[in-house]
Amino acid sequence: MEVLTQGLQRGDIIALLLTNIVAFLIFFVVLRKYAWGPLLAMLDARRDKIRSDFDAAEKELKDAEALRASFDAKIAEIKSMERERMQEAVKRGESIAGELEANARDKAGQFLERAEGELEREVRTARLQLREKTVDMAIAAAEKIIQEELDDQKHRKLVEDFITRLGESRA
Amino acid sequence: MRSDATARRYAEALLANIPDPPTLDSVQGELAAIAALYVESGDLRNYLFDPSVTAEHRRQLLETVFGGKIQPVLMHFLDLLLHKHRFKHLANIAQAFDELVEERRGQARVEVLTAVALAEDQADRLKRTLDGVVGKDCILQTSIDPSIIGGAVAVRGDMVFDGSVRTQLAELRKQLMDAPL
Repeated sequence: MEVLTQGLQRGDIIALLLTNIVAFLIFFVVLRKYAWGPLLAMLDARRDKIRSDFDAAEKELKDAEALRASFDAKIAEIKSMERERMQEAVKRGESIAGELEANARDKAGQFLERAEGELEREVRTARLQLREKTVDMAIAAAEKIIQEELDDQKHRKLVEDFITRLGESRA
Repeated sequence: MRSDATARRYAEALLANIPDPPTLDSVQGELAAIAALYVESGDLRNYLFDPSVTAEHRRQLLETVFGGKIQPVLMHFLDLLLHKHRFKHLANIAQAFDELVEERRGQARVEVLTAVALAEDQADRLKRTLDGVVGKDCILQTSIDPSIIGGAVAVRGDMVFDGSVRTQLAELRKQLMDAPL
């Protein structure tokens, strides 16, 4: 500046300064008219878009949170329902198991009772068969002995007894 | 065993047509003989029931075999049996006839079973005793059946007087079997 000012006069400097200022102003007006407005508009648009994007992101975040909350609630509800179902299933299972056990006990009881009855019947049948065989053997032996012992006199005596009893029956 | 109702009805019809007691005795004997012959002779039965033999031929057979040898009333009765298709009942009719004749005479046929032959004096005493029990003049039909072992059994129709050792043993067996275990 000092170099510049050495060769120039004060008026030149002012003129130069004014020229520069005018030039700057022209530049500024031109810039403002043709570049500044679109630039600002672009910046505004950019800012609006960013804000809008930001808002949208926020909204999405909120929506996502709401969705998550809803999802959590749903999960909780499902878990609760599942828990209830599980509890119900467990109760039902316990009930079925109880019924099965009771049935099994009943059947076992009936089986035991039947088995005892059958055993008793078989023992009784065996006793009856044993007695029948014993009695048959005794009667067969008695018959054989009687047949061997019976002679004419004894035959006659038996018929005589029959006639006597027959006569008594009439009386 | 008593004769059936059909046999008894025919026997009653025959009895009603017999004119006098001597004829009755003849008819009773002849009927019993013819019934026995009918039971024993398969040829006679086959001929009488052969579908290819006409009724007239059957009647002629009876006439040939029995004609002139039996009482006319019995011959007529046999014709009637052929005509009514009742010849197969002949044995039962003869039995029913015997029963009716016995009833008319106040007699009763009693079958007596013994294990060994019945002595004559015992048969007489048994007859007298049975006369009193049955209330009729009993005709004993004795037979021997060793399976009764000893004693005697008297059967008159549905009445059975059982004094056999076999039955006594059976009763003893029943008592032993009925005793509580």
